[in-house]
Amino acid sequence: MLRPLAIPLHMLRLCGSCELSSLQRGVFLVLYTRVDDDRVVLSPLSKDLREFYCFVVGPRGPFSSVLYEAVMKSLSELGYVRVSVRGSGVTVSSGSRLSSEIPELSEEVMERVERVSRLVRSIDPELLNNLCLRVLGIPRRSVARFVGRRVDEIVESILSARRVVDRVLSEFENLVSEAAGGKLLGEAAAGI
Amino acid sequence: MERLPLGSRIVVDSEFLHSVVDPSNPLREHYAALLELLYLGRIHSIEIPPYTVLAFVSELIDPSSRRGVVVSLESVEGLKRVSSISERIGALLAAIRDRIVMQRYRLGRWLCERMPRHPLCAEAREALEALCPRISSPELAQDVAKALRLVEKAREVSGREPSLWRALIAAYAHRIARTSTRPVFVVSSDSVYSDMGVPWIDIRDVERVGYARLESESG
Repeated sequence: MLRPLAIPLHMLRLCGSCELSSLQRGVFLVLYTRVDDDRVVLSPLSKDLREFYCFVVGPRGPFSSVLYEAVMKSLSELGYVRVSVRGSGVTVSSGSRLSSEIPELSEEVMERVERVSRLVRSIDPELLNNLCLRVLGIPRRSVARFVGRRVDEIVESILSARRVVDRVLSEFENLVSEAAGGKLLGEAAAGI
Repeated sequence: MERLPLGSRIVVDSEFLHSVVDPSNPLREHYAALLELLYLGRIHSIEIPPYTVLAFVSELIDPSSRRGVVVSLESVEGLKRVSSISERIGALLAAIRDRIVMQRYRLGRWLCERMPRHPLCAEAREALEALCPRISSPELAQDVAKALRLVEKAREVSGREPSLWRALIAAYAHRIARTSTRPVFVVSSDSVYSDMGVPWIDIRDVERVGYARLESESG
């Protein structure tokens, strides 16, 4: 149980403290994306990790009830995290448990955690929500139509769309270059 | 994506066809993004009116076109080549229709085969047919008259004069928007559509799904 939860624990160790909503988006970003210089790219980690969290689309961004429950109950009771509630906001920080007790992560996952932690520290929570929705191709004003949908399902359909579109475009390139008429279009394209 | 409302009908001009046949076209990734949105069902349809196809052919064969001289209509050989281009465009549209639109609406197709009167069939059929809409003679006359007025309008607004093809595409978009229950947009890099008063979205703002720029979030 604790091994997959090492992601938010390492993130909190690096961030110090953050809003619970930012921790949710941060874990989503680690599980589903990689940060390349100036952009975030959809690139999911292994299915078992993703399935553990069961992320769905919430009104403000990706949300995992497994993560919510763990932070509010087990991790808090075990002393891994400290939770403070102010009004409707929940802030989470590293607990009294020694960081050496947190299970280690693979190099790839740890690198993602480090990059995302830097993002969580530097970006306003509202912008972080927008970033996550943008990666999922969900327009901010239309988020209500996606609430409750499984993130894994959405991600699979995006990856499938990418494969289909790339294949059709490359197939058509071949079609164009193979036939005599294709040669003509090829020449035309070269002149553009 | 942010500016494209879900379920929109998208009308494209010849830029779309150029981007598909030319791997080095700088707009190719953006039009690929548009195809992804269609596959994902985020937009209702991509419509390629006959004016788009005719504009594409004319740009390939027009010796004065900046897009490069390819063939001349003056020779018989040229005519053969034009016919060959038309076949290629047909193949292109078939590829897009079969691989992308059909996949998107595969459930609709299955339903239509078994229960042709099911209300969902009408929508699936409409989306499939939207790729290459037919235009009747009265509609053509209507579009031509409107296009001429739109050329004037653009000239007044910006001093720029759109090509007749683009004016016809704008007229087409205006016409279908009048009766459509869905939002209609022309998607192109040419802002002249905006001068003609058509809801227009710059294709360069349409990015592939699954990517997000950090600068737009932190800036």
